[in-house]
Amino acid sequence: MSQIRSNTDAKGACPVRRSGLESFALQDEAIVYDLARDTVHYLNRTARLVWDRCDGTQSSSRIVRELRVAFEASEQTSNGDGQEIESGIRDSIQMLRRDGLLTDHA
Amino acid sequence: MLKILPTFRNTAPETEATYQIGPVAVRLSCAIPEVVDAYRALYADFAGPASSSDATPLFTVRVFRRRSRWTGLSHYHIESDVDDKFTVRRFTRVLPHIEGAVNLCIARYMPKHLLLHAAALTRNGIGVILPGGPGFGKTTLAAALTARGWKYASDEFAMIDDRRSLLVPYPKALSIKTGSFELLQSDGVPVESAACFDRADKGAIRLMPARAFRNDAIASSSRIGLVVFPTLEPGCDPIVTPMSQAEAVFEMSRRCFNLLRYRSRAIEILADVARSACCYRVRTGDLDATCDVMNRLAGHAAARRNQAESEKPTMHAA
Repeated sequence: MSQIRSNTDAKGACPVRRSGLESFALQDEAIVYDLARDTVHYLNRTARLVWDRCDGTQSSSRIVRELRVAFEASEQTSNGDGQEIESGIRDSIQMLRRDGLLTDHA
Repeated sequence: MLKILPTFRNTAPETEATYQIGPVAVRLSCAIPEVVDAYRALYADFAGPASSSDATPLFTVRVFRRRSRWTGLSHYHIESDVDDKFTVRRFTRVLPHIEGAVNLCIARYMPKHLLLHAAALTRNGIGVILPGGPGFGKTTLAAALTARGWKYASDEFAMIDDRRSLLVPYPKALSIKTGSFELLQSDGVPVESAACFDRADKGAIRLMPARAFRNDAIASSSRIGLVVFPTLEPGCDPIVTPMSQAEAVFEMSRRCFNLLRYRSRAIEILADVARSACCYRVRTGDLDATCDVMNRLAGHAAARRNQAESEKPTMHAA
């Protein structure tokens, strides 16, 4: 799958959902079916929030920033928790990329 | 010097008997009376003309005896119409292999149904599925619950109608392994009445028809209201963990035999099931305690169903 870039540190790149995927929203989580590989992926709440924002218009760092603010607003968190949230969001983006569900829109 | 013996073939005329087991029609073509009788003893209630259609295909299994050219020993050959061939020496292995051949036909070719590797039952009209791989205790739990008044649908396949997402019973004979005999016997399951066979992979097994529990032990088609993923951990008190709908869909998809045929449509069907069901993981090591937990969870699922039905808008005539 040459379309998927492995450079996960490309902060300027805008992640976008790969074509050939069908997603099913279930409460605040989701299931994604990869039609090219016939694989099933489970997205937890954080991954689902990331997934919904990966439309190719926002960079990874902007998604992380926005979601961190959204999380902090919805849950009373200390600064330490905020960093944990941020790393959770980054991990989700990385995992979605690693599983080949996201590609980068330059 | 190697002596070549003439091939022995049973010359008695083959008899053909058909059985309609839930949506599965099976034709047994066999000239060996003891095999015909043993299969009939398991499925007597389902004998009769099978209604083959697009939704219920007819799977044919042929059993014959033939003497080996090399050893001179006679073997039983079991062949299905999808080309699965098994050869066994002992009579006690024939029936489990007929069951295995039918299961393979179902897993590969059963149309119109999404198939999960799961035990399935109903409780007060609510469909309950217990997905799990081999060795998870699906049959043992299904037998223990049936003995406690639940209705039996299957110990191997949860068949989900692909248009209405209903649980469709396929009440095959329960295949009870040696390790569970005593446990189930002490639990009131009439294991001793079931015929004993053996399988190369599982050792001694007993094949037990659902009617051995009682005459009304077989479930009817039902909406699925409870999905439980049991995990066996000896000595562990039951631990119940609720699952989200997405988690349950993901785990069910991992137990789906025909996912590649249905692809994303399978996820739609499973999502439909998860939205209307309560989904849990149950880690357990004690059969009695697990049955108590299952009764409690089924009660909870029934209460949720009743609440959902009472909240449905009623139609008033203008």
